Amino acid sequence: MKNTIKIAALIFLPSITFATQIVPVPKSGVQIVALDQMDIPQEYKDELKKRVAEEKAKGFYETANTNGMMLLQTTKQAEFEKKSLKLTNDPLDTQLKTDYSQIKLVFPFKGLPIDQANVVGYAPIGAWNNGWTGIKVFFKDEKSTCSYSYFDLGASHGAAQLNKEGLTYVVNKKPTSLDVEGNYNEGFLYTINWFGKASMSSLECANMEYKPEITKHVLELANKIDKAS
Amino acid sequence: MKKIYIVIAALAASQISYAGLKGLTVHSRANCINNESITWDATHQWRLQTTSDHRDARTNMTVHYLDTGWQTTWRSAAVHWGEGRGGWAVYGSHNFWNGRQVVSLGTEYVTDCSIYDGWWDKK
Repeated sequence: MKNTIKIAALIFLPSITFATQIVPVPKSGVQIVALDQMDIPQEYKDELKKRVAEEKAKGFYETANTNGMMLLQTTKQAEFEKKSLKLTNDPLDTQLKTDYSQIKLVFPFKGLPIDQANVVGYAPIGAWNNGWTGIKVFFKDEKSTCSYSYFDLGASHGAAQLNKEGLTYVVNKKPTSLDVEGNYNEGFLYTINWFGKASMSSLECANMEYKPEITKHVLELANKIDKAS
Repeated sequence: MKKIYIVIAALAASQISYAGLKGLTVHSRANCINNESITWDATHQWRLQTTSDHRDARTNMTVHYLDTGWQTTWRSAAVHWGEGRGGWAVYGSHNFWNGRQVVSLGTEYVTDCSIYDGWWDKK
């Protein structure tokens, strides 16, 4: 047993470093700063600049669409899971649920303003603080497969630092970012993130096609969801 | 990609799961053989950073501080293996970079082993 622990320590300890500062500062709410002021690796900043340039030129950032494919796969798998998994009474269980009332949340949630027949399932996300601080909804929307995530950052003692370059206010005048990434072989992921005073909402839609009309539609959907919340 | 599907299948095989099966979840545990703070999402590759401040529970003084640094992964874990055999408190913090913003998903202070029960232990 001791040897196992020692071997595990040798494997994992080199991958950790020591630091003294947490950024963004917990419980500091949502702050808007310049990209240069963000404490992130330079490669992330360089990638963001490339993303912004490509999105401006052709409407999307050309990259592997791993996360879009995972969203499609997760939703397909959900139908099977809902039939095979037994519902538990354990509030900490993070498996997919058929109704949001099966998830104990620390914030009010009324569901999404969409045809409920299109909802694939609900899952708890975020942290457990005598209830979950976030929820994720998987649903179908026309030819897209989508997920909506909400994080109550106040309840989880979280925070957010927003990059002011590229920030818009297109979801009900709240700080918003809009990205499309992917490629013509694997499809595209349309992502809209918007922020309240101490919350984050994220709408992701996977679609095999890239069309500006889809971007516009996803933005309209984000506005509709936010207005109903 | 295949590895991710295998992980999801393995996690889904259990009837109850406390991991982030369908989205980002965060937690810390103390005195659990390990002391640990973990951020994970089995459905998504994120840029994640997890820190775990390991303190003497009696004095609340930091003994050491783990920082995973930024990683592209579905599971970011700041773990001190074999350390948590009693008397520890863990203060965890969980960040992700979504390509535009840095979001701190949460911070927690725990003194017990429960995966989520006691997640917000009060001193």
